[in-house]
Amino acid sequence: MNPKIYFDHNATAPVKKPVMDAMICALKLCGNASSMHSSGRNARKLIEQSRDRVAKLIKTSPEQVIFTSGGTEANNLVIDGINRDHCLISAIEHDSILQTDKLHQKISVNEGGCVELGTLEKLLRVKDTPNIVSVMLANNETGVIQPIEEIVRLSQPFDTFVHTDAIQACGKVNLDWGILGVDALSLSAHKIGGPQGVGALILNKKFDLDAHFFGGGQERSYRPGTENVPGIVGFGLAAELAADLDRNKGIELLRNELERKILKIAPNAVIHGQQSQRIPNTSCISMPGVLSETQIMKFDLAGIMVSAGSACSSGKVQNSHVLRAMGVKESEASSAIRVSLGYNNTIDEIDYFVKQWKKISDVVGSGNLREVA
Amino acid sequence: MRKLEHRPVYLDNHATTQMDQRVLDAMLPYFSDKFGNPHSDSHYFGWEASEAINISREQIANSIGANADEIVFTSGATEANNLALKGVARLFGKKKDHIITCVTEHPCVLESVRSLVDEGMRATYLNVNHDGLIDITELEDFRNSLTDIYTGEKKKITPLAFIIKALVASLKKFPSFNSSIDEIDSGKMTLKKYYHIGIAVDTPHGLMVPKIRDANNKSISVISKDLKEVSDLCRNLKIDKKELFGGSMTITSLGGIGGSFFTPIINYPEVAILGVGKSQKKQIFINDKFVTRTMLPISLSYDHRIIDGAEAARFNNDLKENLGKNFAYKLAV
Repeated sequence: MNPKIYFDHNATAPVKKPVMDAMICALKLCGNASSMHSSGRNARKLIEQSRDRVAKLIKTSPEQVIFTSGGTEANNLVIDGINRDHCLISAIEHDSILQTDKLHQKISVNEGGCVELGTLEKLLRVKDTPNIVSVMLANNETGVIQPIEEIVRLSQPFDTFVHTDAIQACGKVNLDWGILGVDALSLSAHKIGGPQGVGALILNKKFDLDAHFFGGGQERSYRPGTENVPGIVGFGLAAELAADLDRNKGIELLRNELERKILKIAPNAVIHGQQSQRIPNTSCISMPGVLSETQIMKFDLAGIMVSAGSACSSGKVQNSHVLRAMGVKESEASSAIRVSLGYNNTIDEIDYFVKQWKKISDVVGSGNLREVA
Repeated sequence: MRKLEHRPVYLDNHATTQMDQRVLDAMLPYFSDKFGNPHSDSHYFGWEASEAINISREQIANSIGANADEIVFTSGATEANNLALKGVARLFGKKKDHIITCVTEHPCVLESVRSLVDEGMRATYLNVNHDGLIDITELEDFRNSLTDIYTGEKKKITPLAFIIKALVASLKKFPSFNSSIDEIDSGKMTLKKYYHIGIAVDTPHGLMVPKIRDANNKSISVISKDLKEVSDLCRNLKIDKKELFGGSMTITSLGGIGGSFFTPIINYPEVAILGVGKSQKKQIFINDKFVTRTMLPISLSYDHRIIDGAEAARFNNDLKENLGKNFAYKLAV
């Protein structure tokens, strides 16, 4: 039987054991956090404890944390809810930002996958109305880290609201609200070993927000609805555990080893964004001459789970908007897969992956390349 | 260890309920081995998660008799209510711009409606019916005890006959309920001097509302006989068309079909209608004890231009008295 090797941690990561235990306890408790009785107060206490933990992870104060149903909602809530009409967003954002109804312009990225600060500055100068700038902290497909502090510095003179989608960066790089200087930041629990279905928007308290929903006034009315107590408890603990960044060093070693070995056996393979600063677990690799879908199928048969681009667009057979924005050639973009590692992966798994990669490349790739030639 | 009796008793299941152990067991695998992102359709873990969602979708659809493709999962009911109301309203835009809701809805509905009003929609807030549970235990005991004095056979008198009699008594006290609004625009309303009670009859040919004429002058047994006659005439299409016009107020009864509270629609030009549900035995808390009583649910709809809420409440209370413990005295006078 084939092994089951999970290399898709940017889509979702397994729930950590202590997180699961904490959630099971919370699931067994019964209490609506809005109730005044002791069961309700107990649920409220758990939520506030988690709020503290999430705030601590990014070194901010708990009253700026708004729990949501996940990263997508956090992104939508802030972009739609902030009372500004014009958005400047990077061309490599997640769909939850890219598909906004608001008037928006895209900030281009360079071939390394980094936002071009010159373009941003130009766009900021053209518009004299207050803008929203939204640039993700780390890209989900390439792992390239964006210069958020620079973006904040450039935006400041223009009375701009700066948001960053830190969903992929969280738990992989040090997040410091004070140093980043953004006005809002999105987080998701299930990328850091927490459960699916819960996330948070961190919003500078000097800003107000139009809520999406109306109801019972939970989360300061920005996000009403009975709180997902077990989910929030899991998120809180996952956030506390994610503060330990040391474990990323091992993951980075594995990732670098994987890339080194691939480039050694196939010098014409391309690692997108390798020249830029990246989060330690992500690698976006093009295998010359083999379509992404073919690779994914072959890898799946070999028991390895990877994805083409982000999970949200992987089902559709279309090239990644991220790679397109980076100016990657169509043929290269259509042969890219994303490998994203987690704590449980081992060097043996990396070796197995490289072996399979070579096999697919040899069997499918060389044939196709010959045909092309 | 704390003693069991010190464990608090949870009586707030409308706020939230304790999770069933089986539900917990079903959830756990998805926190451990089966952790995939249901949107990852490139590999097994994603398919597994996606399959789990589809099964749940089926289960929920089956539990309410819907199709699986009609289920949209949300983060909770607040989101679902917001999504449904605002989504539909915005989809229709100007084409359907009137929203009808009820004053007792959850804030997530009322606040959503308020925001739609801000966007230019019209909203109507329905009031709830006045407390309409009437204790008819004594009346039912009496009705069931009726026997023919000559033959000794049990007499069948429909409870509706008593209700008609009670309604007449209340109409005498509250004349504005016995009026019409034909010419309301010119500031005219007609106060009626007669007591012709309309009875909504469900027939294979549709709903008909024949009248029990001069119910104030008829005994309960005569009314009961009349009721049977007119409804048979309606069912056989033998009813004189004239019989369908000129009523005081209408009673619509679900007693035969079943049902409790509902919103009866006023039979224009009348100004009020009494909906009668099916009586039920209920545990009622009286004098520090639960006792079993026969309760009749009634629903009163009225034209707010003529009758205001307080008057309707008083009318309801009067009706309650007329059918309550002292019904014999009330209906005799």
